[in-house]
Amino acid sequence: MAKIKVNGREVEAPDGANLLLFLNDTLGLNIPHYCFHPALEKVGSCRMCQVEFVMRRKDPDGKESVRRVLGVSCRETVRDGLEVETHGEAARRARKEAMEFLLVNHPLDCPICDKAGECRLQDYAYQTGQLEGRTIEPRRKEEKLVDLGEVILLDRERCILCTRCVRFFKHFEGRAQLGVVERGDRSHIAAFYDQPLTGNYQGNLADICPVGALTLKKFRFKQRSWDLTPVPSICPLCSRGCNIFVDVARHGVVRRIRPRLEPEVNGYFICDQGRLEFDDLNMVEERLRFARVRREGRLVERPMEEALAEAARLVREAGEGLLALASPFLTVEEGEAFLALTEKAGFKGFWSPPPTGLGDRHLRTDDPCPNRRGLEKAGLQAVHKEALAAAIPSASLVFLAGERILRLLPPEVLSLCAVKHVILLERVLGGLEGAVQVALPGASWAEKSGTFVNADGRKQRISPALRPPGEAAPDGRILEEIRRLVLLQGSGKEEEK
Amino acid sequence: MSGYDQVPEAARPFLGPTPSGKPVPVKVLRKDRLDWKEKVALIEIFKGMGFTLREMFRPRFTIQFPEEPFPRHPSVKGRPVLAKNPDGSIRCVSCGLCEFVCPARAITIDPGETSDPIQREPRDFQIDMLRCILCGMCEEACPEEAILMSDELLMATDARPKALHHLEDLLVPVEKLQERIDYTKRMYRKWNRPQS
Repeated sequence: MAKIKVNGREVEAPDGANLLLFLNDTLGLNIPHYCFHPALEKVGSCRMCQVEFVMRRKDPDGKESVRRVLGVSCRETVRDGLEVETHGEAARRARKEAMEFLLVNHPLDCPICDKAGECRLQDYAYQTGQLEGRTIEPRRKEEKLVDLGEVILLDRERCILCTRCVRFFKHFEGRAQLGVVERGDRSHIAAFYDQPLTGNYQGNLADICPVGALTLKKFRFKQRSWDLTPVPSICPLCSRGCNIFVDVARHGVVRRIRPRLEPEVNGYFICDQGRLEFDDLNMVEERLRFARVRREGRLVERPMEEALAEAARLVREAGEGLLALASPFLTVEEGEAFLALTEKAGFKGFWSPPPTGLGDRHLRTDDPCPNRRGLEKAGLQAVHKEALAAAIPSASLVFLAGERILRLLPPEVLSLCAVKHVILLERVLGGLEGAVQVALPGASWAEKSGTFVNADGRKQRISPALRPPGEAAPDGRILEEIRRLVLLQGSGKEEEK
Repeated sequence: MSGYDQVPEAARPFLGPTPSGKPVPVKVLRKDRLDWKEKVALIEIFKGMGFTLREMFRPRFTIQFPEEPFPRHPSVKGRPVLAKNPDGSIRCVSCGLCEFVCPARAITIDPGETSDPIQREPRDFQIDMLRCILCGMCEEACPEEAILMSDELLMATDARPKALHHLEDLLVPVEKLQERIDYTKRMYRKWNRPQS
């Protein structure tokens, strides 16, 4: 620990820590900064984090002389004897002037800018309190809509040239794709040879851009940021288990998924699949809203209680003939409930899809199961295609449970199921209408709480961001209810209704 | 001392019998007899007839509402509407500030791009007039002078869906709203003067 002096007060700080991070995160001084990002190289180009360094020196004749120097705090490390003034007259004025220069050519786009509400430039402009510009020259006109590939749009007028995006590709991905071209007041951000951006991490540019220059195509003009409620959760698309926020709009629609800081798993970033593939959470029409039961050869919508009782009867009658297959999307708790329900089943396990081949050396893994370790620990076996194809013909009843199980199972397995009696616990009916005896409306990962265990064995909690539609309920609740009914029916105390 | 004694003298008759049971003597203060002029009453009748006769020859100021429009001051806050520019473009950029500030949550905006993809405009703009309380906060929040309180006061309908006003119902040429724009500009500048 080093002893430093901040605004005349002595504090202890970890030796070698970044001064700006220490001032902001530990002391809560809220010093503005644009070009600095904890995950990227420090360049000190925006000059917004200037503080005053106080240097004291004893002259040979014993007199003490004091020199005050302005400097950026983001490139300074904490060391013994450091003395800074963060909110003195000179530091404040330096920051205010830097801010004014950044705003000279910034367009007044806030009403139509997707970043408004979470924009650092907007926040600090209000903090410095100078709400009207002093320039009389017309603002610079630049290209407002530059297509940077499939994910990102660039607005050069809004850009403040902090070069976070340039450094992101250089240091995180290790492959530069963006650069600052030309010099002086003509410098601007451009992709090399105007090629579209590639790679699986482009979406992070929209997060690290401190202004609205780089925005997501998918989020463009969809929702104002202050209308979104962030719900902390875990990304279920691979076994990494990245920490995310699910941003939900007022009417219960997921509008955006963005990373949540977790240094041990994903740091500040997530991949583009996790960020952009959330459309099925907002599915409305295909969605199974009420339970369906086969009556006189036709699937009809029935109350949940009736469907649960019917499912329990089928499970109990099937006994050893039951083949129970869970989706890898089940949480640990649901896996345990599934195991308890199917203890008599002749064949049970969770479906283990083949590796996707989408893995890379950063975050994305090859395994598409978000909870493989958790389900294995709960006692469920991973089931592969050959074992499943061999077991289905001898089963009398197939129980498919969990989100996306129909989408993950290969078509040959589904066609084997199609000639059996099937109990389905899913969000959609897709493809098995002819075989399903009871269809129970399940919930997606964004509609339930529970635990996922990622590839490194780290337990992480998901929390509900949406409400399931109609009578749909989290899978765990349904599984436990069926088990209760199975036990009740087995003990002869059948409920009278 | 009982509670009775604390009541002022003049108010005691209203309390009913005294605690001792004796009624309080009541003294009537107003005049209870008519004099002869009042008894005849004819004078008052002729006075009234004269007033009626005079009024018959005065100009009429009754307005046949709702068929006949009546002049309204620009400070009247009627149905909120969206201004349409003379070239037919919509002023609203669907920034969502009115949606956010609306205390009754009456506004729902579906934003979209215009033909010029760097500008946005509402694809649909719904105001639920069953929810709207005509407070005018949307107008005050609007950075584009796009949503304005018009002077339309007839908002009753016979069916609930009709109370949900969509974009096409809300668009009004900006010339019709000019008076209100000038008024709000003047008044909001006065009320929302910077604090510094």
